[in-house]
Formats: sequence, C-alpha cells, structure tokens
Amino acid sequence: MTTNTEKYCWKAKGIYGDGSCPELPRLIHCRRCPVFAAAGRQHLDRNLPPAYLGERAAVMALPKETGRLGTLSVMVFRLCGEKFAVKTIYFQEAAEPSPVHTLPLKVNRIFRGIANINGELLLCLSVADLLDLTFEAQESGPAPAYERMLVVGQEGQRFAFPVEQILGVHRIAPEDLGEVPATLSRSARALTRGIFLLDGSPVGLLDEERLFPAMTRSLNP
Amino acid sequence: MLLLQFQAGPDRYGLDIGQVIEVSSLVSLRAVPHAPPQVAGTFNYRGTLTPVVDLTVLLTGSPSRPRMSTRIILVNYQGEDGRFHILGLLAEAVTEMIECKKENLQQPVVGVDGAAYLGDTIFDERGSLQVLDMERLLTRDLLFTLFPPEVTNG
Repeated sequence: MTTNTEKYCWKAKGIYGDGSCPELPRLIHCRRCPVFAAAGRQHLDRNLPPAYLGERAAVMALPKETGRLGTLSVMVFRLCGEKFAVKTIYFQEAAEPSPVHTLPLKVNRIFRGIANINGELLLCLSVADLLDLTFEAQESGPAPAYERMLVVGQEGQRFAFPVEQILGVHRIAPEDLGEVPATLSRSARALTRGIFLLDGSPVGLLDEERLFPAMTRSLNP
Repeated sequence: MLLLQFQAGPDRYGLDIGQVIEVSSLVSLRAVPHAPPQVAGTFNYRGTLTPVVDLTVLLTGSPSRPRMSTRIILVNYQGEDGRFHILGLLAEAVTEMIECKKENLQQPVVGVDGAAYLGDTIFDERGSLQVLDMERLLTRDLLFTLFPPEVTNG
C-alpha cells in the first residue's frame, strides 16, 4: 500500500486525496505538477492490447478526417425548451437569477423592469416574449436550477434577460448556418439569422442587427 | 524552436517539428525482406505506401519495443532526387514536445563518423536532450533503398 500511496500521490495527498501536499498551494491543481505529468506519460509505456496494431493500421490507412473550421463563436442558451444562440462578442455576462423590479407605467410584456446584476442595474427584458415563444415545453424542460440571467451588450447598450439554461460557447462554421424554418413564429423568424445543428438538435442564431433594435424598441412601445 | 521528444535507450532525443506531418500510433508493419535492419517495414499511410525507419535501431542497435508510447513520426523527407517523400520514423516514448531556445543549444563535442545526424544538445531540468539533424538522418545508401529514383522511359 505504501508503494501505491507514493506512486499515486495525487490520490493520497493531492487534489484527489486530503490535499496536504506542500506543493499544492503553489500549483493549485495536480495536473500542473511534474510528478502527475510524468505518471501520465508512464501510463503510455504499457504493452499493446491484442488486435491494437491491426486496428490502428486500418485507421491510418484511411484519409485524414479534417473537421470543418468553426470560425464563428456563439453562446448557446435554452429558452422555452428551444435552443438559441448569440454571437459570443455580444455576450457579456452570465449571472445568477435575480428578482426583477418593475417600473410603474413603464413595463410591458417584453420590457419587465430593472434587475440587479452583480451590483449593476440593468434593463431586463423577456426575450422569450420578444420571440413570441410559448411556454408549452416548460414541463419537459430542465430543472430550474440551471436558470441564469444572460447579459448581452452592444455599443454601451446592455440588456439582461432570463434563460432556462446556458449551454456554453461553441464554434460553428458560417456555412453550416441553414435557413430558418417557416414553422417558427413570425417574430422569432425575423430576429433569427439562421439555424445550425448542435449535437443533433437545432439552434437558432439570433441576428444582433435586429435583436438590439427590437430590444430598444420594446422600451418605448 | 519546437522539438518532438523521443527516447532511445536511456537517452532523450528531439526532432525539429518543421518536417513532421503527423504522429501515428504503432501499426502493424509489413516486413521488407533483405532490407537493412533500420528499416522496420512499410505500411499504408492514408493510401500511400510508406517506409518506416526504426530510430531505436539507428541509435542503439536494438529494435523499438512495442508499447502504447512507441509511435511512428511521419515526416516529409527530401530524397536524393530532390523530391519530398513521406517517411515514417519509429521511436519510443514519443509523448511530448519541448520548446527550446536556439541560443541554449550546445554544439556536439564528440564527432562520430557515420553519425553526422547527431546534432546540438540542450540541458533542462530532466537532463539532456540531443537534437537530430533530419536532413542527415538517413545515409545515401539507405535513402536510395527507400526511395529509389524513378526510372523514366525514353
């Protein structure tokens, strides 16, 4: 056991153990430690599994697969069970859900009020209503624990809107953008630039050139 | 410069990545009868019949051991005719790349006849690493064996 503890020090005193390693405060994580890296490389010095050579020979005989270059970075989120995305350059912040304070005589179906996002008061809108999405899919949607406030901005304008879940930044190839299907609501179609597939499910990329003016318009309907 | 590190016996060596196309895992090789011992065999690399030279044989005399970390480094190699061919270099412990500064390289102190490919050495926290000169790696005879000049008709 002693040899194993010495050998797998990351499990004993490292990040996967009790964290008592004196190097840990400096390195923060075992994966930055040369001992861990050396052990990882040694792991490759093992004998070949049977049939490995033949399998690899078949793989290397095939033409090299080159993935398409994803040049467009988008932030994907879920809204009313549907997936949408904005270009990452317009995404500014993801915050914990916070209560929205209404402004008397000012709020409407889309403009919901102001919200405190990390100490900053931001105009809060409902993009779901802006896109005329229905909440039918809500029941089968993910647990509300994933709810976030998404902050988008352009030229000093900043808006916050609640989303059901943030699915992270993905890169897509511009040529992968497809036509917006006619089944989408009229408002959603007008604000969507195109559709792309992410893990087999469609994602609508919102058109920032129309989204921000639509958001601004909703403040003074 | 960026070096692809490998091991032959107890020593570490490096190849400039400039000519490297890809690093392949070990594959089953077809033996070349009567070929010099450094020639490990040939294989189908993405549709091209590619010869593989065992760097461990070249450097230590004994063949590379079959391990997960023993890999084939595919390089563009200039033949005697001036054209570039794809060549596989079989080596052990091909798991890492090393960044090194040219001014830290030390010239060889022992010149060995018949091993003109042995180049400069660098020292780092794990010891020393010798850079191999890709252009002089194969002797003319071996090059001629691997990539015979094309016979042109007329």
